[in-house]
Amino acid sequence: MGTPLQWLLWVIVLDLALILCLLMWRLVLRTQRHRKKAFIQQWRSVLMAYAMGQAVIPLPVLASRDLGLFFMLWNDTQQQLVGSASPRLNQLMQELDLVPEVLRRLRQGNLRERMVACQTVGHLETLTEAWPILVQLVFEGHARLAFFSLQALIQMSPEAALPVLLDVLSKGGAAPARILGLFRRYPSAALVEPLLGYLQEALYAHDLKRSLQIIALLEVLPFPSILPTMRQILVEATEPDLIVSCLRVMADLHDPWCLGLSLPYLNHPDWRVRQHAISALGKVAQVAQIPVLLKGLEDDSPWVAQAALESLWEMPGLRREKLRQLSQDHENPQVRARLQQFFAEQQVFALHA
Amino acid sequence: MLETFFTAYFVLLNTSYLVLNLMGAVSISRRQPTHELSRLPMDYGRFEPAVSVLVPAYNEEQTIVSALQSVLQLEYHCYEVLVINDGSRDQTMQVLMAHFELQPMPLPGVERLPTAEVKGFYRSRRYPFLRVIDKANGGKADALNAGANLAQYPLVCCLDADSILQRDSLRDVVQPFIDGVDVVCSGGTVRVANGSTIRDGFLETVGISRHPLALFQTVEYLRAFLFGREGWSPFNALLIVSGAFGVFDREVLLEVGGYRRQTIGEDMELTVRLHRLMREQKRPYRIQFLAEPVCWTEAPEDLSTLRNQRIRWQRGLLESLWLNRKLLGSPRGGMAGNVAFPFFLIFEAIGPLIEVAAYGFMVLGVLLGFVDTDSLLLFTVAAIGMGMTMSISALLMEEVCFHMYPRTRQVIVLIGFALLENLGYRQLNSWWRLLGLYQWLTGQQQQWGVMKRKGNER
Repeated sequence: MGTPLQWLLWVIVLDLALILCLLMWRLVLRTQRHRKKAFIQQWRSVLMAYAMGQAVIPLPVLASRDLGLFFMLWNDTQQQLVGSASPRLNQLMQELDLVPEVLRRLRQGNLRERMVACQTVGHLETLTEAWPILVQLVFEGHARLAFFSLQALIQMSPEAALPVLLDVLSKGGAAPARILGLFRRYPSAALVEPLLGYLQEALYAHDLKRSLQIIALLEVLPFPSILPTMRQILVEATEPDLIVSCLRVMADLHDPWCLGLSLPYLNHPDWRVRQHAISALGKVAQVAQIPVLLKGLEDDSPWVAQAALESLWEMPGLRREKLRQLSQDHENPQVRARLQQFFAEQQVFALHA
Repeated sequence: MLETFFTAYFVLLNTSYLVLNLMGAVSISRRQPTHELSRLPMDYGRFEPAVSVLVPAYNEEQTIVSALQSVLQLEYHCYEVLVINDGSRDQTMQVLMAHFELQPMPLPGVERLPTAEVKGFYRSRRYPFLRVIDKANGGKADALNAGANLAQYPLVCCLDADSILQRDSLRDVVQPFIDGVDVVCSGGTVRVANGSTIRDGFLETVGISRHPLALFQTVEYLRAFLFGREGWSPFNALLIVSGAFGVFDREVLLEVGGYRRQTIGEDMELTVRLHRLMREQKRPYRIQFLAEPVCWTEAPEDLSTLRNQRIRWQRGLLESLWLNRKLLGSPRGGMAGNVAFPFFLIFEAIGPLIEVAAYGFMVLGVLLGFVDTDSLLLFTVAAIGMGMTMSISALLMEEVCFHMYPRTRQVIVLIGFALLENLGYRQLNSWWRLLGLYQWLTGQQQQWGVMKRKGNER
């Protein structure tokens, strides 16, 4: 057990050791920072030169301890490049013979190294031997690693990555918001057809969650070729979530079919359906639909009324003075209050603009 | 016999904190590589959930404009700021009206949480995403509830009016909601801003105060946030998300009845209640803490304000535990009910009683000669030596993970205060907490705290 004095000494030694560690760490950090700064200064210009198609001879020496930093810097530069500059920078990776190292890090690296390697492979695009490793990483159970692996797969081949992506999405292995972001960053028309195929399969299997996920992905890809399928689903759908998704996609793409297809949903018991039906109608409405939209102002749900108001406000063929007048003399006090609120907000935005 | 009990208590207390420290270190070190990489430009900003930032204000006429400056310049794609003037008796409302050119608006929507009367609703002409609610005084919880009622976005971020956020803090603190489906609440670190330079509402350079009280609190906040909270978070057992900086799923917040009014520690009460209700309803949920998003706050530099603050915190803690006592030892309580709750009860709620008794007993024992030198030495090791180890390890963790303090001199001063805080400051804190315990037991009332501000704005 030791005597109390020994215990006291032990604690003092421990505290002193911690203090020493702390100060040593600062020293190490400072040295690292200086080295990092010098490395970035030297290599950034080399990377930019390569991106612009100017070979640098001889290349600076790349120490193995600097590889992590190099990959980070290389990825950082790649993120900012478009067009032919990106493949030119890939060329540097070949010249430095770093591809085997990237694959090694992808297979055996720690979490950080794997993530950076995923990004690197994504930019390299043609490194097919990385494909099975990336697929494996997607399902390793780490959301952020799954995201980076998916990003690489999509960069390499969007169509081939699609089944993996849908699989991981349905298992909750990746954040839907991040996947949507990926689709937005790398939109590909080639994805529409396979996605529609998967959507039909999901609908046939009555897999609502998967269907909604696929529609959300389609929504990010702004291609009108999805509209016929959306219309068909809308006509047959009974699930409010599914109806809402279809209406939202159709409204976003200003589908003229909204004019007829949204009308049956204006009296739906679910307020979200009514809200999206009104919004969809508003996107394509003509003078004949004004009474329907005005009726929407009286809806019990403030969100439906708000959607009706926004639609009316943007509608050609309806003078805004008419709405202003309604805010004074509409028979329903709730509608008057909503209109007044809306006009007050519009005034603020107009002033700001 | 008694001295053995007291020594054992301190050994247990400090060992528990050291274990928490270790768990916090593991948790941060697991997240750090991911966190750094997520900062690479990625075009998914549009899909981050929109946030309503709620800023309750009571008698903040001198600081409200500068405090809002940081909130109005956050790096986030879609958010609104809702300032709730909780019946201030000074010119807070007039200052807001004049500076932000507020325009009256009709009151929208239905109020789902009962609050004191809302007298007016305004929108700024200068910043259309800034709205102000003017309401009768009802306390901080009531003000936050009024804000939650009128918030239009799915997440609400509750901030203190004197908090200074870093530009990327909101983006960071929202990450758990993107990556996890069942996240109901997330909180960030609160750090002491005293001694730092603030310009245009943002923290320009990190510094340390010259005032000993602020320095003690700097070490204390590091300890509390970096391993107190980070340690509990991986086990979904975090019992407090600071009211100074926390984000909630608005729908869940409204569903559980919002902040409890007439409560002093409304932030802790809400967090413990969320645990209790979610577990009672067998709903999957996560309450997460992240050390990376930082919110800076001014710590009191005078004894009387600090004393009142600590008494208030202690009463808040006791109230929160008492009101949600069903969570304690509940079969569905999980780590929150079966580990964190008893821990808080023993070491935080009734701890001050034991600590003050222990110090009193040992001092008396030495004076009257009924405590021998060996026992005194052992007690010193357990109560003071281990306490120092704990404080230094928090500083080490700060240095390894965040490296916020740029100058070595600052770190050396903090090391000094980490050692010194165990020689008087912690004992004083225990005394104040004991007073809080007494006040809570005797049912004394307390309202919004009054903070004597020094300000760091340039």
